[in-house]
Amino acid sequence: MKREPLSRRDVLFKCAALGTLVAVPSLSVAESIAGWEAQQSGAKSATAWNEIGPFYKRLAPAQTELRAAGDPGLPVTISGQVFDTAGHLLPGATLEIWQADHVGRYDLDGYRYRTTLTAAADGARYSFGSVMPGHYPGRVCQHVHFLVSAPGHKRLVTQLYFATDPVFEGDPDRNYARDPLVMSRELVRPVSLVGDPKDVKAAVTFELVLERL
Amino acid sequence: MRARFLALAVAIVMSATATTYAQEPAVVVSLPLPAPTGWFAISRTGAVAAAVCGGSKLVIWSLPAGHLERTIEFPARNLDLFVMSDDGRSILLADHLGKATIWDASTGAVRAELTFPRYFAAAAFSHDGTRVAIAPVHLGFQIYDIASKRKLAESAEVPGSTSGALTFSPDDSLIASADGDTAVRIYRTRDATVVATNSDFLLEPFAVTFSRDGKQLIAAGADKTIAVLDATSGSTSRKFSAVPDPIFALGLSDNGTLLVAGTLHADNLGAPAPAIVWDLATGTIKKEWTPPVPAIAGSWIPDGHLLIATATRDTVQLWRVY
Repeated sequence: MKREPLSRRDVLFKCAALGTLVAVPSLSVAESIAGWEAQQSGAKSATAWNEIGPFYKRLAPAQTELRAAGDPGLPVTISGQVFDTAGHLLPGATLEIWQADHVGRYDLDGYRYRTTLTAAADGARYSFGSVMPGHYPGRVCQHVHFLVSAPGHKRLVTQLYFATDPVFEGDPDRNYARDPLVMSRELVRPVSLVGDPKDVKAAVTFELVLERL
Repeated sequence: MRARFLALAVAIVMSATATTYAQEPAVVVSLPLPAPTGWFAISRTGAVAAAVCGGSKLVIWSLPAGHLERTIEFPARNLDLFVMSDDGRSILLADHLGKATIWDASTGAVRAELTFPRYFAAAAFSHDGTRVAIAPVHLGFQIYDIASKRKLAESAEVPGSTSGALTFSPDDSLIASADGDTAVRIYRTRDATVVATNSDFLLEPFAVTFSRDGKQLIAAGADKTIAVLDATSGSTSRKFSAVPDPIFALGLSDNGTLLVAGTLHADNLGAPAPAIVWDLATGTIKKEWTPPVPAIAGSWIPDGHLLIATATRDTVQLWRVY
C-alpha cells in the first residue's frame, strides 16, 4: 500500500505530539509551526495600512534628495526594499512619498518634500534623503506618507513613524497608540544616528510588503 | 509661488469689495455648554443645533431661540464624525472604534447602531432623511436604510479611501465622494456604482456639493480652487479663481445662487481662517469673513442667511455672516 508523504505541517505536528518539538510557553504549537513555515518560505506580513492623510499630491517628480542645501532640520536617509507577501522582491514598484518639512508644513503649491521613486531593478531597493518631519496641530506624531503600487498587487497606503518621536517617550511599544492614527506598532521604526558629532544624520529602514490582488 | 497666490487673493477680495454684502457679522444666539465641544452642527432647516460636549454628552437646542431641548449622555467615545440630517431629526456620531450611532433628536432615542471594522472618513444623510452613506477608511462607502438598519449598497474600495466628503444629490439619486487619491467620483445611489470620475485635482478634494438642479457638482480642497463639474460626465466645466488656503467645506444657499467655502491655514491649522461667499453664477466674492476663533460649523438656512458657529470653552456663538 502506497503511503502519502506527510506534509511539513503534518511532520511538525507529529513532532510536537511526540515531544521532539517543544513550543515555548508563550506560543501555542500551532503558532510555533505557523511561524516556522513563514520563516522557511520567506513569507512576509503585508505592511499595515494607514490613512492617506489630507495632503497627498499627484505627479511628484522623481528626486532622491528632498532636502535642499541649507534646509534646517535633522537630515535623515530613509531606505528599504519592496516585497510581496510571498517574499518576492518587487523591482519596478512605484513609491509616492510625501512629508511635512521640519516644522510641520506641507508644500501645497510645489513639490518640496515630495517624490516619486521606482524600486531598483536590483534588489527592489529605494532610498531618499530628507529631514525629520515636524509636528503640526491636529496630528500627534512625526510621519512620512507612502503610496506604493506594483502591477498585480493591491496598492499600499501607509505611513512611517519614528521610534525617537518625543510623543513615545522612548517607549514606542507602550506608547505608539498615543496617536490614534498609528494602528500598528510595526510602522514605528528605529532610528540610527550616523556621521560625526558635527554632522549627525539619522537613518531609518522601512521595508514595504504588498499584498497580491 | 505662494506670494503670488496671496497677492492674487488680495486682488480678488479688493476688486469684489464694491459689490460685497456690507452688513457686519453679528452673534445671533449664544448656547451655553456643559463641557467644551469640538463637534457642532446646524440643521439645514435652521431649526436645530447640536453639539457633542466632553466626548460624552449630546446636547440639542432648538433655533433660533436657542432653547435647550435635551441632553443625551453616553459612555465617552473618541469621535471621528458628527453629522446631522437636513431636517435636524437624525444625528450621527461615529467613533474611532468603528461604531456609528444615529439618534432621533426629537425623542432622544437611538434610531440605529451600526458596527464597522474600521474607523470613519466621511458620512452623509440622504436629503429625505431615510438613508445614510458612511465611509470607513480604506473601504468602500456603505448605504443603509436607517429605519430597517439594512445595508442597501456598498461601493468598491478606492485607493486612499473616501476621505474628504460624501454628499447626496438633491433628489438622492446620486452620491458624490471626494477621495484620497484626489479623484471626485459620482455614484448611482441605487447600487453604489461609479457613473463618472473627475481626476483634475492634483491635491485632495475635501468638499463636494451638488447644485440645486443636480446637474452640476461643486468640488474644492487642497488645490485652493473651486471647480464646477458636470454631474453626468464628471468633466470640469469651470473653475473659480484660486484662494490663498485650502478649502475644507462647501455649502450652497437654499436658492442655489450663493456658495460658501470654509478655508483653513495649511501652515497653521489652529488659526482662524476666512469663510468666503461667492456668487455661484459669476464666481465673484460677495463676502469674506475671518471669525475671531476657528469656525466649528456653518449652514445656510431657509431665510437666506448664513450661520457660522465658533466656540469658547463654555459657549457656542452663532454668527449671522450673510
